[in-house]
Amino acid sequence: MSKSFLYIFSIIAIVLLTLTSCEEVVHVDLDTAAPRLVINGSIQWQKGTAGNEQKIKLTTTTGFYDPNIPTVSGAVVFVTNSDNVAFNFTEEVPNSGIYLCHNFIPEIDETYVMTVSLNGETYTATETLKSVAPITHIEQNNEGGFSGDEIEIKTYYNDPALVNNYYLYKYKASSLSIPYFGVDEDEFFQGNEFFAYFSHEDVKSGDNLDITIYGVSKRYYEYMNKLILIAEGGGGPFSTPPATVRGNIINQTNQNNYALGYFNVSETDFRNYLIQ
Amino acid sequence: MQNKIILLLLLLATTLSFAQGGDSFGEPEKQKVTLSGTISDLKTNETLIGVNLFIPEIKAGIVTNEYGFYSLTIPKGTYTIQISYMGYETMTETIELTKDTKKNISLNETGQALEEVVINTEKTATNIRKPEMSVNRLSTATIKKIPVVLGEVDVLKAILTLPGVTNAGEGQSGFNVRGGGADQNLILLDEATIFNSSHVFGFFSVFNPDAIKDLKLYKGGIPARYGGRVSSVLDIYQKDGNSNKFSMNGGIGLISSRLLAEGPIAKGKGSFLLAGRGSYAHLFMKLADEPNSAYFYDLNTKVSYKLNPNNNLFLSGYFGRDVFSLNKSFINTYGNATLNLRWNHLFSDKLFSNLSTIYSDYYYGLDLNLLGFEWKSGIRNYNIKYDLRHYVSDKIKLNYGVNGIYYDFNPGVIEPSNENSGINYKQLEKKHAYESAFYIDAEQKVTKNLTLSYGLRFSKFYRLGSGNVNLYDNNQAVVFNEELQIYEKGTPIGTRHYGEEDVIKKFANLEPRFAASYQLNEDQSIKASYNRTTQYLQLVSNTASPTPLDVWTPSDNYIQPQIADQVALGYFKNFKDDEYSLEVETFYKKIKNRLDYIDGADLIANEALEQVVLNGQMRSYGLEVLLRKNTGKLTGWVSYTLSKSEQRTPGRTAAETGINNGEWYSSGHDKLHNLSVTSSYAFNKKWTFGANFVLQSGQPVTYPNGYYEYEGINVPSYGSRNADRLPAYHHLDLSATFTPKPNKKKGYQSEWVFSLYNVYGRQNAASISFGQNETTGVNEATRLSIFGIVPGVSYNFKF
Repeated sequence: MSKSFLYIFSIIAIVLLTLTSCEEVVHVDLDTAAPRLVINGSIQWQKGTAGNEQKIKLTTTTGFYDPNIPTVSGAVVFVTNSDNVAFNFTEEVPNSGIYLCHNFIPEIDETYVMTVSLNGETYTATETLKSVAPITHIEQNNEGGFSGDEIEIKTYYNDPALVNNYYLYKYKASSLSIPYFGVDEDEFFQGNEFFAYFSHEDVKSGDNLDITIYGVSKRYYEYMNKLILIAEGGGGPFSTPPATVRGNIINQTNQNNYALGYFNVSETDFRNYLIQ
Repeated sequence: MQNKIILLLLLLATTLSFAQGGDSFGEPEKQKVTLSGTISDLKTNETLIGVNLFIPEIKAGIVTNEYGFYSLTIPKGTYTIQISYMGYETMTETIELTKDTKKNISLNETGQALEEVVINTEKTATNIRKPEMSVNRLSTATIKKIPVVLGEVDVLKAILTLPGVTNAGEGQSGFNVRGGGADQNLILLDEATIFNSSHVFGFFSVFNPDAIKDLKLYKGGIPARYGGRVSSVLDIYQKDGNSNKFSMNGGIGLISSRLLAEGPIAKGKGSFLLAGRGSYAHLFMKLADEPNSAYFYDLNTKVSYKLNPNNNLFLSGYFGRDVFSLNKSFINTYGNATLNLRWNHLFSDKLFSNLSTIYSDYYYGLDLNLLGFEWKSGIRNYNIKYDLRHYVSDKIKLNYGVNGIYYDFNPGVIEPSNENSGINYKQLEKKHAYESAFYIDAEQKVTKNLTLSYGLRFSKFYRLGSGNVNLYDNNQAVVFNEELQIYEKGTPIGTRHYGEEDVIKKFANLEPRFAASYQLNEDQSIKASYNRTTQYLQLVSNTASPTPLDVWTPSDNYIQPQIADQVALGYFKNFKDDEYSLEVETFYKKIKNRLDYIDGADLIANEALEQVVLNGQMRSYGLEVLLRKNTGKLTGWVSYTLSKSEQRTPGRTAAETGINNGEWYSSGHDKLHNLSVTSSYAFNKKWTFGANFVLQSGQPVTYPNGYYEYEGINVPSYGSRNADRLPAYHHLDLSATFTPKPNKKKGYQSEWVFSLYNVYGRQNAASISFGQNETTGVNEATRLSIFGIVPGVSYNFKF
């Protein structure tokens, strides 16, 4: 909830500022730090599927203006559950950096450990698979948003009472090139029907909107919260000084050579919604 | 402990009182007489603050206090008294003093219809001698001449032209003094604390310039009578109102309009003042038919009443609100309110007292129909203050007093705004606190050339029940995760309940204050000062400047009070018959327990703030130069500051990284160079021109040193905090004031003020943000500039 606050507050600030101000894309000379390993380990178990097919992606950081993201090959990647059953992830397409697994077994509240071995260093991360409340219905309002003329989509679910739930929302509209993320915790709507809120000025009737709701751990919620702020343009006039966001991956061999990214396991619910 | 300290203070007071007795042993007591009274404006009877009264024969001087009162005890004799005040004709009079004499003096304003054109000679003799340093005074007349954005005269923008004062950037509220945080300024309006000094997110200040008499900014050498904030004191006094005749003045501008009425009550025994200011509802909104609005208003009132020559009563109030509404889905209201009743009493012609009872509050409300809830938060305080000025002799002056403030904090209540809302009602736990202080301050002329000022403030702070306090392992609310090398919120292992009678936590601090002035000759002096200040209230805000969503929180078991030590050294010189004056100061300030936030700290609606903050440090140092031209057709000042302001939050143990690896980093408002030129040129009686120019180092920011992809979005990665800088910030502004009938001194008088902000259209970067283009998905840097060229016009009138 407090995330919504922050979001709204930055909206006010931006609305106010844009009314007297001007935004311009400029070139800023930037330094590039030495590349660092990035592990995108997002295990998602869509309700109603077996969840056997999973992937983990390995890349590195690169210069801010570099359009190509270097991939990482030659790593040994596997995930184990609490019974020490190992699920292997292999890079099937050479130089893709995408490591695939076809026999993953997801289980609610099971704890998984990811291990990545690369260049003699071992990285590990531990995470618990969180369940998610199903999407009940979707509402569209064409006079929404702060300007009153944007399409807004509310995706409803019933928050389970008595437990603290953390949510990650992902929206991908067919007319937009990048996905949008949002996070919530149920502190202020514990046990109630609530919604994931999305509006964007460029979304129009006829667009397909992919909506995914993830049940996530508190730590992943905190991580994504920071990541979203940073990705949406850190350094705005009302933001905190941006800093590199650390995830849950630990380099067991050399602590200083840490990897970015996160190993997350979530139950998800998904809807494809045709915007009216 | 506390009784001992009070005893100590009393002892000090008595010793000093005796000291003055001893001082006059050399000459028979009866030969000394006291000259006292008030100094006011001839036309309006408005008392004047800071008027210099000087007797050249014995080089004795005094300055009127906040209520226009002065008192000077000197040997019997015949003297010349010189009375000088900025913007007023200097008065010289010969007076024969044979007994205690009460003399109320009226000064005649120089200059024209609405404001003086020439800043008249300010006899700076007392300036040179007084140990008071690191202080800037500005009169409303001076403030009104500085060209400003959209032609709106602004008190806070004016103080930014002074050395040692900056703000984080355009459109950012608040101000920073000598590298301190914007929350470290004590802002007083008729002695009442103002918690948020800005309208419209920092574009304007809450002070209506028409209703303000005088302001004084203490950047260092803060007298013992002030406490509660560590960096500075901005002391603003409202006008009392004209007690001679009814009059009105006002102005119509592009953004707001103002109207002020003042006049006598009770046959001249008192006066009233009522001033209102409001902006137009569609401020900033491009299309008037949009269902959006943003406006602000404020109301200043004051009634003063003279019971008899020794007793005066003042009732003053302020109420201001900002309302910002977007498409009815969102309504934001916030503002300050203050009410203050003061009683001036003269025990004798040497002992002046003032009792103030003050209420002030700050409210912040948010109605978010969009998400189905309302949010209200605020802070209230009840303040009682008793201050005495004891003009013991011409060598010693004492200030002493007591102060008690009770605070009620409402961190927030969240309520569903309609029946269908999915939000549950929740009141975040209210907090209560009490702050008290005793102080004594002496100003002593030790020799002909050396004057000292020394004092002590003893402050105490009680965090009061009722309330629940979380308990943590090892008393650590923030936990360092060694494996992941990040700070995380601690998990309470229990809570402790405190009842209404209980004190949750208490603090006590001694705050010594010291200043010395050594006069080298008639025109030059050197001054030095030291002060320790303590701040028990913390502004929790993770942005570079205060936003309306200010969360003030009291010090408690986990959040320690900020303690600052500052030393300053200065050289002061008047030259060319006081046409010019030069002030050079250096300072060093360090502050303990400056809050810093763990990455991703959520501060809004957070019930356990202690889980996201760490106690860090702050330091700043610099050199300030102020060169003023006081007289002539061209007047103004050049101020330059070379300074550094840094913060550091080291790990609590060797295993912890701290914030930014525990290294010092530039604070968000750090400006290495800051140059400001402010000038006014009286071309003729009808036209006056103003110009100011500002050149500053860019704001410290953090630029990315790479990026990576995670879940389909590009995420920038960063190096050291605030290691980069935005491009240099500069702009030139011009104004012209046209007075159609400058010789008209009665009846309806008017003037036009034309202004042009940022004449050469510099696109100053308010921020540069790094992200993905929404359409192409390509990484880009986006510069936000707030103001291009901004013309303004306003029409002012009075009758």
